[in-house]
Amino acid sequence: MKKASFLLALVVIASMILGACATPAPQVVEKVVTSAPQVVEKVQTQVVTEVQTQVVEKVVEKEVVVTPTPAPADENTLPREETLYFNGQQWSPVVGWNPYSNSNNNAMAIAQQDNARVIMFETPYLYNMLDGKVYPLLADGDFAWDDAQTQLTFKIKPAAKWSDGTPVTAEDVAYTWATHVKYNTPTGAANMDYIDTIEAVDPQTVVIKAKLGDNGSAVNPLLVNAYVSSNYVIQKAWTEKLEERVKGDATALLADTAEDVVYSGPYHKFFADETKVIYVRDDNYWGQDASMWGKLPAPKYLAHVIYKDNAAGSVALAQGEVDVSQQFNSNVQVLWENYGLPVSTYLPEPPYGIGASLPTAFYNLKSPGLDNPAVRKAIAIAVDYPTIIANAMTNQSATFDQVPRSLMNPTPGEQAMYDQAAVADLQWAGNDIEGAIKLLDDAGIKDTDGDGWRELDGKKLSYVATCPNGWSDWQAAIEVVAAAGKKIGIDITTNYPEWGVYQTVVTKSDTDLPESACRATGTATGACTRTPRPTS
Amino acid sequence: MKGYRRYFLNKAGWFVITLIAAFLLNFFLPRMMPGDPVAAIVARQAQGMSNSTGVQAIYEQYTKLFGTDKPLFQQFFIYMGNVLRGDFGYSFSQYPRTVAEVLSASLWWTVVLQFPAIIFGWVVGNSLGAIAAYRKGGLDKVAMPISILISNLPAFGMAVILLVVFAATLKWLPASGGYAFDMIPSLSVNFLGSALLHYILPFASIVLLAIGGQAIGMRSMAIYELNADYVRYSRFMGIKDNQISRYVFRNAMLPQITGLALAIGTMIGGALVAEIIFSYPGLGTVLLTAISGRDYPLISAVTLIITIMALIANFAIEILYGFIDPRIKAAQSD
Repeated sequence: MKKASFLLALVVIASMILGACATPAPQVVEKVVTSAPQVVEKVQTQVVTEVQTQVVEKVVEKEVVVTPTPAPADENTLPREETLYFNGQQWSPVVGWNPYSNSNNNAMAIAQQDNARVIMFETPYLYNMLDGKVYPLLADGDFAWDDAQTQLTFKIKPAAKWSDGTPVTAEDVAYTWATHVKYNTPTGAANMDYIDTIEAVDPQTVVIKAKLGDNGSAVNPLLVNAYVSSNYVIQKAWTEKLEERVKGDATALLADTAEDVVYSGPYHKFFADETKVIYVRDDNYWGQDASMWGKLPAPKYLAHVIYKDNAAGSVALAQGEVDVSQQFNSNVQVLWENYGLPVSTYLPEPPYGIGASLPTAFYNLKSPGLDNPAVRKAIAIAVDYPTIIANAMTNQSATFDQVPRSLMNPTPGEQAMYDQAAVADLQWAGNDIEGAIKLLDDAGIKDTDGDGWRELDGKKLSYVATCPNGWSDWQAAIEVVAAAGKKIGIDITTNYPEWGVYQTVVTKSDTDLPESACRATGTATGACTRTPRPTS
Repeated sequence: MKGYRRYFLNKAGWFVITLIAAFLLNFFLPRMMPGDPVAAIVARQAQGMSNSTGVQAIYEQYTKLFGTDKPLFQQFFIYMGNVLRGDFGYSFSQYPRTVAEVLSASLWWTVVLQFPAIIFGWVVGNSLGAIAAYRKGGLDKVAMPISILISNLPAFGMAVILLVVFAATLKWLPASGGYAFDMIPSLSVNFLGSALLHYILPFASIVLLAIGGQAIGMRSMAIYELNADYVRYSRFMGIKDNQISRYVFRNAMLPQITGLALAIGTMIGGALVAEIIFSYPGLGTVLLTAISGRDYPLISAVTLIITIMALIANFAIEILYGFIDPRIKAAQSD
């Protein structure tokens, strides 16, 4: 349930935070804060040098600037006009600020994956899923592969600085990787089969050497490409401090909550408790340099209140307590159509958002019957996908007519990389009950004992389809799959265990639970939903 | 005093036996639930990983860290040793937070919400029940059916009704959270005001149920006592009504005190529903997420707190009983 969302695609969020529209108000605040001490100094010195009038004028000028700044009613209340409220990313309290660990439960600040979030820590490049390209962030210009495609080189922007004012260097990039490997962090474990070394040639230049296969070429150059847009650069000096603190112990290094962490991004921790997390802008953020964004991001605070479920989040959105909602809001259009609220979505028409994650039903091939392609394909073509899109996803998913299904996102950038025509005869639109029945009949998989369910090798085709409890849209989708099974004589029952139990089913279904045949899964990282398609 | 000592030792003995049994159950029951908590943590850690050896390495690292690779009885002795030192270990679902950190962040919300609600509900409910029994007539005819209706509503029903009426429809009070969405906890007037405003509905949902239940119990007890032989006898003796009602009240109170003890002991269990419906950041919410996340140490710690609270409350009441009710002492002295 917590995966789906609709309002703004991730890129838009990133651009809102990082680059776009700095409204005049915060800039005014900025001027006042920085220039006030200078004025005082001038008054003291220039009284002596008899150019007082000028200075007074200046002071008056400053005062004029100061007047429109609204005085906060209470210093413990966030000024509404300077705070951007999110939801859909944080479902339980933040537990840490450690960029080496995946256990921070701090989704807005620390998320190093395909769509890494960069409000606090920064990656060398940003991936834009709309056009499928990467854009430099800490990096200066595009990266380049050598001719043999064994090593990748990029430069770090000279303007890039850490929050303590020291420059971000190639040495930081190299040391980050070395630390990932040395302590076998999740990032290290995920990439060490593809990346051999990361070296600093000079303070600005980074060289990533790919792991080479037996044939002398890189094992997977695309995963090396992905590394530079999905993993943070962490300061070497702070890492050394951390290593000293944990005395070289890998578990302690990952368990450190890193409250003292040095970061390069525009926001950092302001407050976190059981009910919310708040990030505050670092007004010395290097990105205001002309070589990057040229200004600071507009909101002084980013806040995320923890809601108990999608329904509570939707209520808060309707009440104006949420500015950017990145959760699944079922039937989102009622907010403006029925209630006339000033809410809008990234796409003005259905499906309202860009699909980014791919809910997928996986078959357990160890399950009797599912090792037979005819059974798998019959279930896949019998499922009523339009109903899933209309009911389970309340139309917040592109239809099969709009985007034929594949493992690529329905964005123009990713679709351009995919040759739909080449696979056209392998595609199906679903709801093909007759075709599925014929397929099974032709394969000799029939109901021999008259109980209404088909048998294969004397065994009834009976399966369990599972997804975590509370993922309401997925649960609804799986029910549609079960209904399709019934129509073609395959018994599919649904089961929604708690997330922790579900994970056990997933990891152990090969051996312990042969009945658990279909399992819906997918990464909960996307900004939008797509409809499940059983893959065969 | 000999009678009291024997009574006390007897009760203390049962207290210890119950505590040991509860401690064993607190440890073993959560671990008998289906589901592997480490699998869930690894699934989070390994998101986006494309090599299975890396995933396996992370899995082994965490089973070792949490000790779930060891036999259950061995885990138990490690756990027991740690608990005796006051160390409840890491929370699985909120790792690397410790259980102590998680509990200290939420315990106060629950205590502040539940304790006044239970006391307030108990006092008001008993007073109403006693008055209804004594006065009879109109008050009894109106108040009792209402009390019965309210006290028989399930806790979630009451909470949802309050939520729909006062938060969603009338918009008088906030629907969720412990304080306003745009605030940071402090001791400022604004914050305390906001916390109080968010306090009203969860408080009311507990108090109303408590008042109803206590009033019914008190009324029945009082009516029973009013018809008891000693009341008639006292009347024949010409003792004043005021004095008689004092006798009656004292006797009718006894079962109600047990009720209060149990209510205080089980307050976290009772808090669960109100806290969850109003998204209140207390122990009830923690317990629910712990259970769904198969967070054994956190479940064990929360249930241990509940157990110990219930035991202490019961123990204290039983000791107190010995003083309040001479019959109990007499029975023990035999």
